[in-house]
Amino acid sequence: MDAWGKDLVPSDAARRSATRLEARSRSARYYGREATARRLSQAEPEAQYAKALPELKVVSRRKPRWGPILVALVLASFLLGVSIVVPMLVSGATTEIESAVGELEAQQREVAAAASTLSAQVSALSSPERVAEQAIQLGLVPAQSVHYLQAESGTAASEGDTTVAGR
Amino acid sequence: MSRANKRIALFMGFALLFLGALLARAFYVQVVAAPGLQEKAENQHVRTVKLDAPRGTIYDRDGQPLAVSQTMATVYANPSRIGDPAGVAKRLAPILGCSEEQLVATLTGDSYSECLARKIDQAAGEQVKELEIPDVWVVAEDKRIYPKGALAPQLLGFVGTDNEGLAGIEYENEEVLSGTPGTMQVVSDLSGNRLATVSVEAAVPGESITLTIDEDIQFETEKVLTAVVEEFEAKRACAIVLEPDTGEILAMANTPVFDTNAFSSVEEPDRRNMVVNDQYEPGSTFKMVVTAAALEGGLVTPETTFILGKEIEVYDRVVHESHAESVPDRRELTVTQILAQSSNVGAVQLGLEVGKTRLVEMIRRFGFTEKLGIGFPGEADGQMLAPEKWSGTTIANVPIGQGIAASPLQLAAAYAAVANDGQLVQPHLVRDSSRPWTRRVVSSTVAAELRDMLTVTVEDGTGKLAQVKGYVVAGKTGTAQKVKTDGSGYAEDRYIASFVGMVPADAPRLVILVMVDEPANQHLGAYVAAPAFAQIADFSLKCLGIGPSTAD
Repeated sequence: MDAWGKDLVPSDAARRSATRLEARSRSARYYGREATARRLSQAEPEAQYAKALPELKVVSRRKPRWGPILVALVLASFLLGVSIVVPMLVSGATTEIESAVGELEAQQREVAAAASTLSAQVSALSSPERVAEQAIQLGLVPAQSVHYLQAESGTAASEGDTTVAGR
Repeated sequence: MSRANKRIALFMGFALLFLGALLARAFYVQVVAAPGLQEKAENQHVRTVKLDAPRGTIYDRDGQPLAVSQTMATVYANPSRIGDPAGVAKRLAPILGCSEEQLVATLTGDSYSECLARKIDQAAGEQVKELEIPDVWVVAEDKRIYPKGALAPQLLGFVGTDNEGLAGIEYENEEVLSGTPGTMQVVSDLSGNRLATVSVEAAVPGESITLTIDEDIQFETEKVLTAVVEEFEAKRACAIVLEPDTGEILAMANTPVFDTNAFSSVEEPDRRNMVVNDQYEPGSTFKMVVTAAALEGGLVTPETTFILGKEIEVYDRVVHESHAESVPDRRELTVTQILAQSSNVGAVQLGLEVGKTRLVEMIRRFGFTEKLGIGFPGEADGQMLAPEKWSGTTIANVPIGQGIAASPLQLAAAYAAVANDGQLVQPHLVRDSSRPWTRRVVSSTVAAELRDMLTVTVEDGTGKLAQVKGYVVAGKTGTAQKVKTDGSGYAEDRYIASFVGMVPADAPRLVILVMVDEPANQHLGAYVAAPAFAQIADFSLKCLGIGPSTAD
């Protein structure tokens, strides 16, 4: 086997294969899939070339890298869902708020209307015409004699007779 | 890669492609085409709602509301979608207060919207809502209410169905009272329920105004006028009560007095505010003006004596005393007596002394040829023949209040100037920030002399029935013949009886004018208008707490 090996000189194709192998080996280590692969020593090129060929089969059986794709899909789906659901939720909430505002405004209008109605009723009940009618019904008559206190003297009073002189 | 893995990769690829397409579409819809789509959507779902501006309230000087806006209910229906008009009419008629036949006629047809009842009580509107009749709906609308009913209708005026002022104070102050309507754009569903508010331009409510009117004095004045019209079978009457020192009008009354809420159903002549809108030949009340001109010109004093006959001839015009049969052929009268006894001959004599120029100047200074800017629509500005057109007899007419026309307001304002020491203060109806103008008409000395002379008129002259016990009253009676309808002279049986005076005369607080148009069974102002003046003055003095002039 050794003699056989001594006579062997790597062909150009074998060298290129060895170079590719070296590159794949580095790549595999980078992604953690060939953690056990041994790095070929630069000092033993012949031995390295001799052992490189069997390892080709191992590398060729890599599994597909679905993980990142799935993560991207989930993320995109989530974003899509959010972009659909959130506006719906916001719209729903807005509608509820608008409805509540509308109800409150309606209540405000009703209360204001009731207040204005009551105010008008109070005003009507206190009109001079009605007061006069009520006074007559109660048998009240205008005062025939009104006395005024004189500010200057303090106690003296003067009388203003409601009987008009000419009537 | 195995075949299975290839299929999964292919599926994922399509999924990514689909997702990318969705995102691209979403981007297009949300960003690129958003403005156009938004506009389309708004056109479909956004409706503009008008926000009514509540009309301002009108208060009297004490804060009593004379005109308020009240929310009412208006009922609409969509006849094109009502399948059973008779059934709907049967349910609605008792609530709306109209006949079923009338409702059936309204509800039968292809129109999309018919008003069934406008501005009915809210309670009735609620009853209609509770019936839940499809395609019948209730809308809230403001209605102008005059809670005092029959109080100052000609003064307050009225508003139209759309709440715009059409007469009186309501019309004059439309800009202030009406406010500015707003708009609101809302997104609504098919049922009309509001889902979102797009924009709101809030309505600006109308401002309230406060009048100078005192509702109690106004009511009493109207009551007195109504009684006078009834007693003397007069056509109509009016009166004004004003404060001479402030120009504030406390009452402005006209007959007939009717419920302001029924303004639109009243005949147009009855809606007129005679105090401001009408003018008439004032008659003897105008003698104060020629007297003022004579005093102001220094031509006479109150004691200056004139020898007068029963009549006076000026060119082709002969002016008689009103009761010539009881007047001696020759008598001596002071200027005070001329005014107190309302001597026509004496007034003409004064006019001749004063002359055209001075008389015209005094008439203008008193404001008889201009609008006083009271703040009421259709204010009369008076009528006086242009001085260059005066004939020789005009100077014999004007001093006795003929050949010149003035509104009751102008006459009251002139007497107010005398009451206010010769200073005329612009009469006004609304209390606001603007100050009324003032101007001197006669000197304070002349004003005091005139007050004394007018006091004699009431105490010892034609105005005795205007006396108010406990108070000194100054004033002047007026009995003016009305011009014939064809313009050919004066009618013998149609008069305007009036009285204008001030009280208390020693420190005037009120000027009151009463005018009675065409009293039938008595035409003298001394008997028709003077007592009404006394009644109004008596009540007003008590109401305002103005003490008597003299202690009893």
